[in-house]
Amino acid sequence: MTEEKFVEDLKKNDPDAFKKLYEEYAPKIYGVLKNYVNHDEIEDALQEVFIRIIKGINGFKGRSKLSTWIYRIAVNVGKNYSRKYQRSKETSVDFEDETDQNHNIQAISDTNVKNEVLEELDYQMILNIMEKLDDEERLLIKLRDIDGLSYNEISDIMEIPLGTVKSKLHYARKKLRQLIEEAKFI
Amino acid sequence: MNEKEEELLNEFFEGKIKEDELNENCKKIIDIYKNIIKTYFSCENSVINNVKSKLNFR
Repeated sequence: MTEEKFVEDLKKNDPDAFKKLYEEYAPKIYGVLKNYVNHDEIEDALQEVFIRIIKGINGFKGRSKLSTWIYRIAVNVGKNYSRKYQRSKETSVDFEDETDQNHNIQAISDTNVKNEVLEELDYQMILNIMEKLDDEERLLIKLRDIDGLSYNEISDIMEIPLGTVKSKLHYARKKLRQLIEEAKFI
Repeated sequence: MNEKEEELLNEFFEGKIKEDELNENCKKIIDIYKNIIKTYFSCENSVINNVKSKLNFR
Protein backbone atom coordinates (compact mmCIF):
# COMPACT_ATOMS: atom_id res chain seq x y z
CA MET A 1 0.00 0.00 0.00
CA THR A 2 1.33 3.45 -0.87
CA GLU A 3 1.70 6.11 1.80
CA GLU A 4 -0.86 8.24 -0.04
CA LYS A 5 -3.49 5.50 0.16
CA PHE A 6 -2.65 4.85 3.80
CA VAL A 7 -3.08 8.55 4.66
CA GLU A 8 -6.36 8.55 2.74
CA ASP A 9 -7.58 5.63 4.89
CA LEU A 10 -6.54 7.47 8.05
CA LYS A 11 -8.43 10.55 6.91
CA LYS A 12 -11.51 8.38 6.42
CA ASN A 13 -11.14 7.24 10.04
CA ASP A 14 -10.54 3.65 8.98
CA PRO A 15 -10.06 1.75 12.30
CA ASP A 16 -7.73 -0.79 10.66
CA ALA A 17 -5.50 1.98 9.36
CA PHE A 18 -5.27 3.56 12.82
CA LYS A 19 -4.55 0.19 14.37
CA LYS A 20 -1.75 -0.36 11.86
CA LEU A 21 -0.39 3.13 12.47
CA TYR A 22 -0.43 2.56 16.22
CA GLU A 23 1.31 -0.80 16.00
CA GLU A 24 4.04 0.61 13.81
CA TYR A 25 4.64 3.90 15.59
CA ALA A 26 3.73 3.45 19.27
CA PRO A 27 7.03 1.72 20.20
CA LYS A 28 9.03 4.29 18.21
CA ILE A 29 7.20 7.21 19.80
CA TYR A 30 7.67 5.66 23.23
CA GLY A 31 11.43 5.82 22.65
CA VAL A 32 11.23 9.48 21.62
CA LEU A 33 9.13 10.38 24.66
CA LYS A 34 11.53 8.57 26.95
CA ASN A 35 14.03 11.35 26.22
CA TYR A 36 11.80 13.98 27.76
CA VAL A 37 9.03 12.48 29.88
CA ASN A 38 9.16 11.03 33.37
CA HIS A 39 8.36 7.34 33.51
CA ASP A 40 5.05 7.79 35.31
CA GLU A 41 3.76 10.16 32.63
CA ILE A 42 4.86 8.30 29.50
CA GLU A 43 1.46 6.62 29.12
CA ASP A 44 -0.34 10.00 29.17
CA ALA A 45 2.20 11.50 26.78
CA LEU A 46 1.88 8.59 24.34
CA GLN A 47 -1.88 8.93 24.41
CA GLU A 48 -1.58 12.66 23.80
CA VAL A 49 0.60 12.09 20.74
CA PHE A 50 -1.96 9.75 19.19
CA ILE A 51 -4.86 12.06 20.02
CA ARG A 52 -2.98 14.85 18.22
CA ILE A 53 -2.39 12.51 15.26
CA ILE A 54 -6.09 11.56 15.11
CA LYS A 55 -7.21 15.18 15.40
CA GLY A 56 -4.60 16.50 13.01
CA ILE A 57 -4.52 13.90 10.25
CA ASN A 58 -7.02 15.80 8.10
CA GLY A 59 -4.66 18.74 8.12
CA PHE A 60 -1.71 16.62 6.98
CA LYS A 61 -0.94 17.88 3.48
CA GLY A 62 1.80 15.43 2.58
CA ARG A 63 4.47 18.12 2.37
CA SER A 64 6.69 15.83 4.46
CA LYS A 65 6.69 12.08 4.93
CA LEU A 66 3.98 10.83 7.29
CA SER A 67 6.70 9.50 9.61
CA THR A 68 8.38 12.94 9.81
CA TRP A 69 5.06 14.55 10.72
CA ILE A 70 4.42 11.92 13.41
CA TYR A 71 7.92 12.15 14.90
CA ARG A 72 7.62 15.93 14.99
CA ILE A 73 4.39 15.69 16.99
CA ALA A 74 6.09 13.28 19.39
CA VAL A 75 9.09 15.59 19.84
CA ASN A 76 6.80 18.58 20.45
CA VAL A 77 4.73 16.71 23.04
CA GLY A 78 7.95 15.52 24.70
CA LYS A 79 9.36 19.04 24.80
CA ASN A 80 6.14 20.35 26.38
CA TYR A 81 6.56 17.86 29.21
CA SER A 82 10.20 18.79 29.55
CA ARG A 83 9.32 22.51 29.79
CA LYS A 84 6.69 21.68 32.41
CA TYR A 85 9.35 19.91 34.52
CA GLN A 86 11.70 22.84 34.05
CA ARG A 87 9.04 25.30 35.24
CA SER A 88 8.30 23.16 38.31
CA LYS A 89 12.01 22.96 39.04
CA GLU A 90 12.35 26.73 38.81
CA THR A 91 9.34 27.20 41.10
CA SER A 92 10.94 24.83 43.59
CA VAL A 93 14.17 26.82 43.46
CA ASP A 94 12.27 30.08 44.07
CA PHE A 95 10.52 28.50 47.01
CA GLU A 96 13.83 27.29 48.34
CA ASP A 97 15.31 30.77 48.06
CA GLU A 98 12.41 32.34 49.89
CA THR A 99 12.16 29.93 52.78
CA ASP A 100 15.66 28.59 53.10
CA GLN A 101 14.12 25.21 53.85
CA ASN A 102 15.58 22.97 51.24
CA HIS A 103 15.43 19.71 53.17
CA ASN A 104 12.03 18.73 51.80
CA ILE A 105 12.22 20.26 48.36
CA GLN A 106 12.73 17.88 45.52
CA ALA A 107 12.79 18.82 41.87
CA ILE A 108 10.47 16.74 39.73
CA SER A 109 13.37 15.40 37.70
CA ASP A 110 14.73 13.82 40.87
CA THR A 111 11.50 11.99 41.58
CA ASN A 112 11.62 10.27 38.23
CA VAL A 113 10.06 6.87 38.81
CA LYS A 114 12.49 5.35 36.34
CA ASN A 115 15.15 5.42 39.01
CA GLU A 116 12.92 3.99 41.69
CA VAL A 117 11.44 0.93 40.03
CA LEU A 118 14.48 -0.48 38.34
CA GLU A 119 16.03 -3.37 40.11
CA GLU A 120 18.59 -4.86 37.82
CA LEU A 121 22.01 -3.35 38.26
CA ASP A 122 22.86 -3.68 34.59
CA TYR A 123 19.81 -1.75 33.60
CA GLN A 124 20.61 0.84 36.21
CA MET A 125 24.08 1.18 34.74
CA ILE A 126 22.57 1.64 31.29
CA LEU A 127 20.28 4.35 32.63
CA ASN A 128 23.18 6.09 34.33
CA ILE A 129 25.14 6.10 31.13
CA MET A 130 22.31 7.20 28.84
CA GLU A 131 21.22 9.95 31.17
CA LYS A 132 24.67 11.51 30.94
CA LEU A 133 23.78 12.36 27.35
CA ASP A 134 21.50 15.34 26.88
CA ASP A 135 17.98 15.11 25.38
CA GLU A 136 19.17 16.10 21.93
CA GLU A 137 22.08 13.66 21.91
CA ARG A 138 19.83 10.77 22.94
CA LEU A 139 17.22 11.70 20.36
CA LEU A 140 19.82 11.83 17.58
CA ILE A 141 21.10 8.38 18.51
CA LYS A 142 17.57 7.01 18.77
CA LEU A 143 16.41 8.41 15.41
CA ARG A 144 19.55 7.39 13.49
CA ASP A 145 20.89 4.24 15.17
CA ILE A 146 17.61 2.67 16.33
CA ASP A 147 14.99 3.89 13.86
CA GLY A 148 17.40 4.23 10.94
CA LEU A 149 16.10 7.59 9.71
CA SER A 150 17.99 9.59 7.11
CA TYR A 151 19.95 12.68 8.12
CA ASN A 152 17.49 14.78 6.12
CA GLU A 153 14.49 13.38 7.97
CA ILE A 154 16.19 13.90 11.32
CA SER A 155 16.97 17.47 10.30
CA ASP A 156 13.27 18.03 9.49
CA ILE A 157 12.03 16.39 12.69
CA MET A 158 14.43 18.21 15.00
CA GLU A 159 14.34 21.42 13.01
CA ILE A 160 18.12 21.78 12.97
CA PRO A 161 20.40 22.10 9.91
CA LEU A 162 21.68 18.96 8.22
CA GLY A 163 25.32 19.75 9.04
CA THR A 164 24.41 20.21 12.70
CA VAL A 165 22.66 16.82 12.72
CA LYS A 166 25.81 15.16 11.40
CA SER A 167 28.24 16.90 13.71
CA LYS A 168 26.09 16.54 16.84
CA LEU A 169 25.45 12.89 16.08
CA HIS A 170 29.19 12.33 15.67
CA TYR A 171 29.87 13.85 19.10
CA ALA A 172 26.91 12.07 20.73
CA ARG A 173 28.19 8.68 19.54
CA LYS A 174 31.71 9.51 20.63
CA LYS A 175 30.47 10.62 24.06
CA LEU A 176 28.46 7.41 24.45
CA ARG A 177 31.46 5.29 23.45
CA GLN A 178 33.59 7.09 26.01
CA LEU A 179 30.94 6.56 28.69
CA ILE A 180 30.85 2.85 27.84
CA GLU A 181 34.62 2.67 28.26
CA GLU A 182 34.54 4.60 31.51
CA ALA A 183 31.85 2.28 32.87
CA LYS A 184 34.25 -0.59 32.22
CA PHE A 185 31.76 -2.54 30.15
CA ILE A 186 34.76 -3.51 28.05
CA MET B 1 40.59 2.44 22.47
CA ASN B 2 43.42 3.83 20.36
CA GLU B 3 43.30 6.42 17.60
CA LYS B 4 43.16 3.83 14.84
CA GLU B 5 40.18 2.11 16.46
CA GLU B 6 38.41 5.41 16.88
CA GLU B 7 38.92 6.08 13.20
CA LEU B 8 37.56 2.62 12.33
CA LEU B 9 34.45 3.23 14.43
CA ASN B 10 33.86 6.59 12.80
CA GLU B 11 34.12 4.98 9.37
CA PHE B 12 31.72 2.27 10.49
CA PHE B 13 29.14 4.79 11.69
CA GLU B 14 29.50 6.75 8.48
CA GLY B 15 28.75 3.57 6.57
CA LYS B 16 32.18 3.48 4.91
CA ILE B 17 33.07 0.06 6.29
CA LYS B 18 31.06 -2.96 7.40
CA GLU B 19 30.99 -4.47 10.87
CA ASP B 20 33.02 -7.52 9.80
CA GLU B 21 35.84 -5.21 8.75
CA LEU B 22 36.28 -4.00 12.33
CA ASN B 23 38.81 -5.51 14.70
CA GLU B 24 37.67 -7.52 17.72
CA ASN B 25 37.81 -4.62 20.16
CA CYS B 26 35.76 -2.37 17.89
CA LYS B 27 33.22 -5.16 17.30
CA LYS B 28 32.88 -5.52 21.05
CA ILE B 29 32.32 -1.79 21.48
CA ILE B 30 29.70 -1.76 18.73
CA ASP B 31 27.99 -4.76 20.26
CA ILE B 32 27.77 -3.07 23.68
CA TYR B 33 26.76 0.24 22.08
CA LYS B 34 23.88 -1.45 20.25
CA ASN B 35 22.76 -3.39 23.33
CA ILE B 36 22.77 -0.29 25.50
CA ILE B 37 20.71 1.84 23.15
CA LYS B 38 18.32 -1.01 22.34
CA THR B 39 17.75 -1.68 26.02
CA TYR B 40 17.39 1.98 26.90
CA PHE B 41 14.88 2.72 24.15
CA SER B 42 12.91 -0.50 24.47
CA CYS B 43 9.33 0.09 25.49
CA GLU B 44 7.07 -1.41 28.12
CA ASN B 45 4.37 -3.49 26.47
CA SER B 46 1.96 -2.70 29.29
CA VAL B 47 2.12 1.02 28.45
CA ILE B 48 1.66 0.33 24.73
CA ASN B 49 -1.32 -1.96 25.43
CA ASN B 50 -2.95 0.40 27.93
CA VAL B 51 -2.94 3.30 25.49
CA LYS B 52 -4.13 1.01 22.71
CA SER B 53 -7.14 0.09 24.83
CA LYS B 54 -7.88 3.68 25.86
CA LEU B 55 -7.85 4.77 22.22
CA ASN B 56 -9.93 1.77 21.10
CA PHE B 57 -7.36 0.62 18.59
CA ARG B 58 -8.14 -3.07 19.20
